[in-house]
Amino acid sequence: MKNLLVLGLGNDILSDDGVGIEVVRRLKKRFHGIEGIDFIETNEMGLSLLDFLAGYNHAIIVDSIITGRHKPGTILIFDRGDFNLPSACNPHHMGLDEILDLAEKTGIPIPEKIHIVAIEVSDPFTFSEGLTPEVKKALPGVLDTIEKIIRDSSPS
Amino acid sequence: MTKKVTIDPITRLEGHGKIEIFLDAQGEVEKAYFQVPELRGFEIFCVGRLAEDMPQITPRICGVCPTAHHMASGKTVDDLWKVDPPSPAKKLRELMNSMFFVEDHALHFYILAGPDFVVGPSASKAERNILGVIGKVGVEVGKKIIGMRRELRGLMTYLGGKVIHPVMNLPGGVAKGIKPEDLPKFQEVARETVKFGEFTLQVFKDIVLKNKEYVNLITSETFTHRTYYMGLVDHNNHPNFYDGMIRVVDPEGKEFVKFDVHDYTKHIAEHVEPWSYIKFPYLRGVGWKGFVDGRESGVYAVAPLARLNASNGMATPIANEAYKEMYETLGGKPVHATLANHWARIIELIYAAERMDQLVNDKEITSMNIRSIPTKTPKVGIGVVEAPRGTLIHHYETDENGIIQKANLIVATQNNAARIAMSVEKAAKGLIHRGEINDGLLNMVEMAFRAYDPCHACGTHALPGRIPLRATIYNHRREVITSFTNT
Repeated sequence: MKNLLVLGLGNDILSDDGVGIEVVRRLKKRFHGIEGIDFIETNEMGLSLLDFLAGYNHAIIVDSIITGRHKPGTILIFDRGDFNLPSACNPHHMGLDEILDLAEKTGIPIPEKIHIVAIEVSDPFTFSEGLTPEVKKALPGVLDTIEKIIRDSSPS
Repeated sequence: MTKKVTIDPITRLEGHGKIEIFLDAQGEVEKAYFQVPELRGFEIFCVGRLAEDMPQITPRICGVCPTAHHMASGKTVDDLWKVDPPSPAKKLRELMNSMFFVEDHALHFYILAGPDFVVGPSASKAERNILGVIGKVGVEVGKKIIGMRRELRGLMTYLGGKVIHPVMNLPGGVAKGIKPEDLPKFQEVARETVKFGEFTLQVFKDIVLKNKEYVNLITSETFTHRTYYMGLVDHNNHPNFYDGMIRVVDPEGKEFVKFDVHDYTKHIAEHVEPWSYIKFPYLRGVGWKGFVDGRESGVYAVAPLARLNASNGMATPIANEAYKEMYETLGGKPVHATLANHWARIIELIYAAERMDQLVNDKEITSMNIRSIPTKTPKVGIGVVEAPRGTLIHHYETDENGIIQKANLIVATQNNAARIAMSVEKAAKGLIHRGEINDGLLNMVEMAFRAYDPCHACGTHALPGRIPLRATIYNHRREVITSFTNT
């Protein structure tokens, strides 16, 4: 098993939808030269996420979220238990809990520990490169939050 | 600022798919709408970019069908420079597209349709998912699906560089061929894929067709619309997912028109409704008569059942047998039962697998003659392929330096938009009576649009990674009486 995966989800040509990608790109620079952490970005979802998650002990997933209850730029942290949502309406959008259950049932090794760092966004619907100002402003805080998760969970 | 919250699914639905159902004073359905958010500004995004970058840009519209956009875009840039790729390049592209169809159709059947038909449309939400399907058909089937998918994606990565952002297509051909020493792997996977297709058809027959209740549901009037059908066909009028002419048949199954994609604006027009961002394409030659079916209404459908209805059989043997069986069982062509899309999808899965098998055994497939170099000045390019969800058209216009001035796409689901709206309304009208609404009924309404595998707002996927849907029911005073979500 590999140690730690930081997986950025989103579409970097769809405004704020790309926040997960941007965070992972910046973290990769911040952690340059440090071994044992893989930084991956993807705009895939659903079952495809298993391809990335399989084989790691610990995964940190970075993605955008719209709760409508928080200001854009707010950082929300979840773990697997928070995503107890049954049944998808689209095969390409299987929920995280569902793909993890599927992996367990079919014998695919999945991370023991999963952190989901979500950033409340305002516009993930407009084709454009770059984030909206509130979300962009939140980036340093997001990076620090994830760095802390990484440091707190490292074996040393 | 960090907060720990528990997700309340309902609050996540802002800006996402919604069904609104309006009841009259007797509690009968007066009107139902199905709405989705639109992704904005794609054309503006493209203007000023290099046309040869479009095969890399357009797959990023969507995390679900990047391959289909890559193919449509590749053909469009060929057309833009008026360059004809060598035959091996076309075969490699068709191979890639075939592998993508197999993977996508298989996931749809087992993960999307499966919960309705394998577990049952009235099963509880908690069971109506892939795990419920595996619970019924056995964990070995789950392993089979995942294993097949892994193999196909491995080969797609070989050809495309990446599955999700393929870099295969260039104006005039492809960037990479298959080395002879790597071909046996392709041949082995192709053989397995055909077997997987046959196995899937058997699962469908055993679980769905042997259950009279399901067959009645599929053929029920509630899920039926007598519309026109569209699909890309070869010279024998067999469906072809990569190339051919666009054929449209009328509700009696007779050819209405067959045209080259360059003439698409002569045949397809778009209707605008105040309640939806989506424009509703219709047949210009028939005209827009509203959300109604029949010969007088220009509403048409695309995707698996439409493609089969718009054709005269399949180009490969096993798929062709399955094609004949479907039409014999469902009372001849065309089949208007929306839920028969699930059956049609499996027939197409088999065709794509058999086509893959043919292509990897074609002696040209390892040829390195895979690119014609463009020499002409670009101006206008139009291209079409079949995506799993239906006919997909790209259209670019550039200046003499190949800089995009205009980009227009007609995506698969958009072609189906009018019929999807009709299906949702008809299902609501057929199932909801005297104000009686429950979770099972809502799922039956959802089944009406799930059969199309609609892929709206496909580029966005904010957490938790699915497009949520909310149904709101209003009484005759326009007061909300109840609402449901699919999460």
